[in-house]
Amino acid sequence: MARTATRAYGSVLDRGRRKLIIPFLAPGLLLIAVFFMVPAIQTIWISFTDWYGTFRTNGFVGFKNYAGIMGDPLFLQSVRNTFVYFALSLVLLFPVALFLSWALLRVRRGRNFFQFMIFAPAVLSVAVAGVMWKFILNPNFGLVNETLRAIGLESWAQPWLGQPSTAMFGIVVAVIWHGIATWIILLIAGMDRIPGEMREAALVDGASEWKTYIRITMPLLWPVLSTLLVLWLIQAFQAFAFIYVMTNGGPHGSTEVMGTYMYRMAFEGRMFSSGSAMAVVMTLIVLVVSVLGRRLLKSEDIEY
Amino acid sequence: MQRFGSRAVIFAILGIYAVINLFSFVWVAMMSFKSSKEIIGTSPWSLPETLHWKNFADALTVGRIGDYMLNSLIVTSVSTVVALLVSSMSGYILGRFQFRGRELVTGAFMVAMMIPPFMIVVPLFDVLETLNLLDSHVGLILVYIAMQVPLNTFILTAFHRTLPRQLEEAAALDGASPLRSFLQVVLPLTTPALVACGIVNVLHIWNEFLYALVFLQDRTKYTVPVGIFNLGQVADYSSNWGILFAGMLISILPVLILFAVFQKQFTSGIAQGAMKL
Repeated sequence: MARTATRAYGSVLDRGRRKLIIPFLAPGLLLIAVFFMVPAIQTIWISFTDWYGTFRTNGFVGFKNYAGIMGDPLFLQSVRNTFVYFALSLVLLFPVALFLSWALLRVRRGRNFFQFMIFAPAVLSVAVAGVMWKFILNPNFGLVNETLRAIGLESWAQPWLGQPSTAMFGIVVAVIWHGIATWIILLIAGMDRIPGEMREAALVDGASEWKTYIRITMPLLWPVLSTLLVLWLIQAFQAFAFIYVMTNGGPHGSTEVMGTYMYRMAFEGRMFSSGSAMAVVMTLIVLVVSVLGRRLLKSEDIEY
Repeated sequence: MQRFGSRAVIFAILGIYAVINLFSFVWVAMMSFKSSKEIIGTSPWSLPETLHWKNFADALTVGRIGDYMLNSLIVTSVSTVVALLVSSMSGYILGRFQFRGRELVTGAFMVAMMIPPFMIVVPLFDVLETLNLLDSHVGLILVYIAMQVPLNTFILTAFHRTLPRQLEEAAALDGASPLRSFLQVVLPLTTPALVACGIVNVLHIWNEFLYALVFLQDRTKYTVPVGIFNLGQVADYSSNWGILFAGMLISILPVLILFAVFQKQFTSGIAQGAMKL
């Protein structure tokens, strides 16, 4: 009774407040319409027309631009490189992030210091971190080569970003150095939600800490891990800044990914229609892969 | 015994990782005090022979790092404040009221959050050019606000849903208009959520690269990421690395200090920011 009364009374007051609905929603909706929705539709439209430099027709040319990029070996290479970038970064990122988050949870003294040191790169701009790593990997005075020489591993020193065989690896290391904080933070948050009894029971049974982590904690972490995987997928397929800053797609196109090639097409070559067609293909790949990923990775939510 | 062993391993691994990161920052600092000749001629581990303060002076005058910092500061603070206000308004409505078309509005924000930057950057370039907002901070700020509104709205909607209505009702009984009670009663209650959101926005905007690279052309208007990238390019063919490293140090230090002071807030900000696609 009392509750209905309050609600009715509240709704009388709400009547005046409901006048705010339209004016309060308008600015946000207007902004995303002008700067996101309309441009996204325009990109689709541009990809079906001819627009090269200042020459622009609004005529429909069908799938001509799509046929063009599909017949462009450099674009196909950039798609391949994007998959390589995704796979390579995942293979390195997953174990390192899991190990570091496990270690951070176990450490008692100095946890704040370790967290600060490991997370600090994440607050740097991607461009700044990229420039930094470009010079850390510099063949002449870079930190890595000089250190290798100093500890007697001179034969390991090489132009990391200057040769196709190691350039992508160098970029991936920089990307992980910068991005790992996000993973560790989300993994630790996931681990904190797992009740301690399960782990303790396993420890009492004589399992080692690390084994307990792999056998007990990891399966319970699956929901977090699959979310991270899909997030990484979406980010990796849009990779741009690190590569643009560190190698600009080189040497010999070995690090050219969809993002850098699209930028080159649209803003260096001013081939806006081809660039837009690439953007559409990129977005489609991201959508398909993330929907597929989500479906494949979906396991029944574990109750605990 | 085994326990002790694993603890030592944990410490060693974390220690090595932390030290590598520490050294990379110390290296930037040492490089910024060296002359270009020293940078090429001596080991990166050697201490600078003399403190080459000229690099910092050059970074400010020739390198214009001060301009970039100021530009970034203006763009980031204006975008963040406006984005928070706009998202507070939409978050308040979505968290507070049931109305027709609610699903549609939520859906629109959801879709906007999933549109990748590459999908919109070409027409945006064109739109800003026609609006005469290309190469201007106003244009960039508008794009940044739009970029943050969807995620902010979702975070703030969830927060507004938890707020008790009694205070607003009391304000209404006191004769406050709905707008005034929103500004003076509701908004202050959301301070914790605004701070959390604000950190996410500041991190995203301060570090944003693609839009700034495409939309800004005049060197004096660059933000820090584009400015540092540009200094890197210049250093590559002028061999004037001292300026670049001094510039990097100047741009990195304030951020690291802020991170050290607000470590907890930043940490949760990094995690929340990850949810934006």
